[in-house]
Formats: sequence, structure tokens, C-alpha cells
Amino acid sequence: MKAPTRSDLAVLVLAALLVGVSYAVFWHGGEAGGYALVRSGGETVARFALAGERAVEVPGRLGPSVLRIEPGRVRFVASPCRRKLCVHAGWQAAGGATVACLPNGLSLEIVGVERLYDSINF
Amino acid sequence: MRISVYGIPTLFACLALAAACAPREEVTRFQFLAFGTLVDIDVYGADRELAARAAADIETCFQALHRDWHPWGDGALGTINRAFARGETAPIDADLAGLLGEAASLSRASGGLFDPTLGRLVDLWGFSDDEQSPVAPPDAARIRALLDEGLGMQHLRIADGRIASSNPDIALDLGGFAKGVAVDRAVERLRALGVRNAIVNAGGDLRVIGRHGDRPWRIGIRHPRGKGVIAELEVHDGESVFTSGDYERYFDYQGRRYHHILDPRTGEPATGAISVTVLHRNAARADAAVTALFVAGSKAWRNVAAALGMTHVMLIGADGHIEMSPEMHERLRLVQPALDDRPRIAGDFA
Repeated sequence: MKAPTRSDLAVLVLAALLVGVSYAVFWHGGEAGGYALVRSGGETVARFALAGERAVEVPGRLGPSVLRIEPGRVRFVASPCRRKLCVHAGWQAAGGATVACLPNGLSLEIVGVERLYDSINF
Repeated sequence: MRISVYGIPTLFACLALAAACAPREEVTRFQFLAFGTLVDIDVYGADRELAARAAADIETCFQALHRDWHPWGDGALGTINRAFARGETAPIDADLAGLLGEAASLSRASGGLFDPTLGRLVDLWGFSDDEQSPVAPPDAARIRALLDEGLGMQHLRIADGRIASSNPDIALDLGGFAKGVAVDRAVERLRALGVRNAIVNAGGDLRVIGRHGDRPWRIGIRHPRGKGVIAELEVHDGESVFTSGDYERYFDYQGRRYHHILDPRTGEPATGAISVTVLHRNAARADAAVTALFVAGSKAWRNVAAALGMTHVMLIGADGHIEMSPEMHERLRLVQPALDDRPRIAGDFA
């Protein structure tokens, strides 16, 4: 077997570097905890990384709803709607989990986390 | 051609590079609000522009159906209900007449357990208000008075483009049927537009087209009491999964739960189940069936399922035990227990 030439080594090093850089740039699945995607009227209006601890306000039809974010999970903690079903739905952490506040026209979905199911029936 | 031994690791590195750059998410989700609930349309693998156009088309369709079929709105059904209350007839178009004919047929087959004429009863209980939950059950005498007048589809007559009711207390409420019809129409529309793989999920009730790539669609069924899902199943092209549960709309009063699925025989929330799930190829029939089977409860669901042509059924009883048909047992996998021990398959009771 012939010894590797400098060119061989250069190609190998370049390929390895490209793989590493590509995973870092394009692969978002490894983002710990994923994201909370907030939609209003079918449009995405906010996207929050589920990292750190904080409360954020999202404007809705009736007024602002407040989300509490903790590492890997999110929930509605306050809403101007009357029945507060969104608040009672509690913490969401599973990939694809969705909570909606219909009166305030907002929905929340967990993305960027592996989904066990394509859809949930209830 | 001669390949250097260093070409092999280089080839693997390039393949890994390609994998890293491949699109990770092949499902595009569209969401909108209709029928007082959240509608998700998940499209696998299709051109995003086509999927967006299809989703927008379905949203327009759902909004129109919601307006036309709302029992107390300004659309066709609201107009009919107001005419009934005045003792008058009302105009009805062929589409709604056909729908009511199908609903009447399902109501008969269910022995009246699925009853689209309970609009006044639903309103009396306060479940027709999308914005506010009721706080206490209505007066029993008012419930009795409504039932004594005689409800049911047999009181309706459709002729020459008009509909009449022999009882002014009847109000049509397609709550246990309209969503299924809408889901069927959405699936037809998606297919017509060339979408080959999708899920239409309207407030938890769904129907699928095609597959998720090289595997069937995977569906989780929410636990009626605990967290997460109670069961999972793979759903094939054209199949729908519908569930009715006492956890969807309810209020607690003096330590008792009062939910929105009313028993036409008593005028009160049905007590024989906490959740019913069916798998069927027609979403409209599945929608009506879960309501009827929920009302039938643990004692009577098998006969009602047979009458409605439902072979795949799971019922979670009021005490938390699980019963299911042998066909459903073959398809569904429990991932956590209900509130008691092992599931009972329908044959166990024979």
C-alpha cells in the first residue's frame, strides 16, 4: 500500500472539517429543549428557545398572553380569555405538542424536539 | 478505475456531509381556527407552495361550513332553528338536506343515541357558549319539559326545498357530525389538489392520506385522565380516528363532573363511559358513532357499534377499565394502563 500523499491528507482533513461545520450550521435537531412556536391567525408570530427561565408576553386578539419558559418546557401562565383552558393545559414538553387559546387567537407548538407521534387524537 | 484506500473514508465523509445537509423536517404544518377549535393540516413531502394553497383552500371551506352550520349563527342552520322556534318552515339547500338525511339515517341506526336535534338541550346546559363554561346544571324540570315535547329527527320533514319541524322546541345541532363531514371534505380536497400524504386534525379528530415517507402515520390517543397518551396506532391511507371524551368540555359542581355529551334519554351528561375511540374509513360516520357509543356506555356499545358498522372501537368505562373490539385490539397498542388492570376484549364478554 502506498503512503498517503499530501493531497490525500488535505482532502481527508477538508472533508472532516466540512462535516463538522455542516452539522453545526444545518443540524438543529440537537438543540436542547427545542423551541416554542407561537402562531396567530395561521402566521408564526414568535419563536422562543426552551432554554433558561423567563416569562414572555405574546400579543393576541384580546390582549397579551404570558408564557413561562423553563429548560425544555413551556406553558401559558396568564391569558385575557375567560375560560383559561390554555392556562389549565399546563406544561408542554413533547415534540409536536400543541396548546391553543381560541378566544385570544393564539396557538403554541413545541418544535425541534423528536416527535413520538405524527398527530394526537383526543 | 483505481480507488485509493483513502478514498473510502473520504467517500463516507462526503455521505455524512450530504446527510447533514439533507432537509430534516419533511412535514409542513398549517394551522387555523375553525369550528371553535384548532385545525392542523400536516403535509408530508409535497411542494410547499402546493401544500400552502391546499391548506388555505381548506381553511376557506371550513370557515364557510362553520358559518353555515353554527346552530345559533346567521347561517343556514341558525336560520332554520329560529324558524322552528316561530313554528315556521325554512329554506334548505341540497347540501344541507343531504347532510341531515345522512344524520337521520345514523340517528336511526344508533337507536336515537346520536341525536342532532338536541340544540335546545345543549343550550340549556350552557355548552353552546364557546367563550364561557357553565357553572351549575340547569333546573331538572326544564330538562324534563324539553324531553316531554319529544325530540328526534322523526319530527322533521324536508320537501320542495324547505324544512319543517312538528316541535318548535327542536333546534338542530350538528356538533357530533359536522366536524367529521368537514374532515372528509378536506381530505377529498387535498387529494383533488394532488396532495398524496397528509393528516387533517380538527380539534383532535383526524383522517390521514398516504404515509409518512416509508412508514404509516403514527397516532397517539390522549389519556382521558392521566398525562400523555394511553395508546398508539398506525393509521393507513383514508382511515380516520375519532374520540369523544368527558374531558373536552365540562364543569365541576358539588363534586361531580358534568360534561357536554348529553344522553337524549335523560337529558343529562351520559354516565357509561369517560372516553370512546373509533377507527373507520369515513370521518362523518366515525364522528356520529363516537357520540352514540359514548352514550351507549359500557353495557350497550357492542350492539350500537354493530348497528353503525363500527368494527374498531375502544371504550374506557366510567370506572376506568378499558374495553375494545378484537379488531381494535389487533391495531392498537396500549402504552400505559387506564385506571384499572388489563384491557377486556369484546369477545371476553360473550
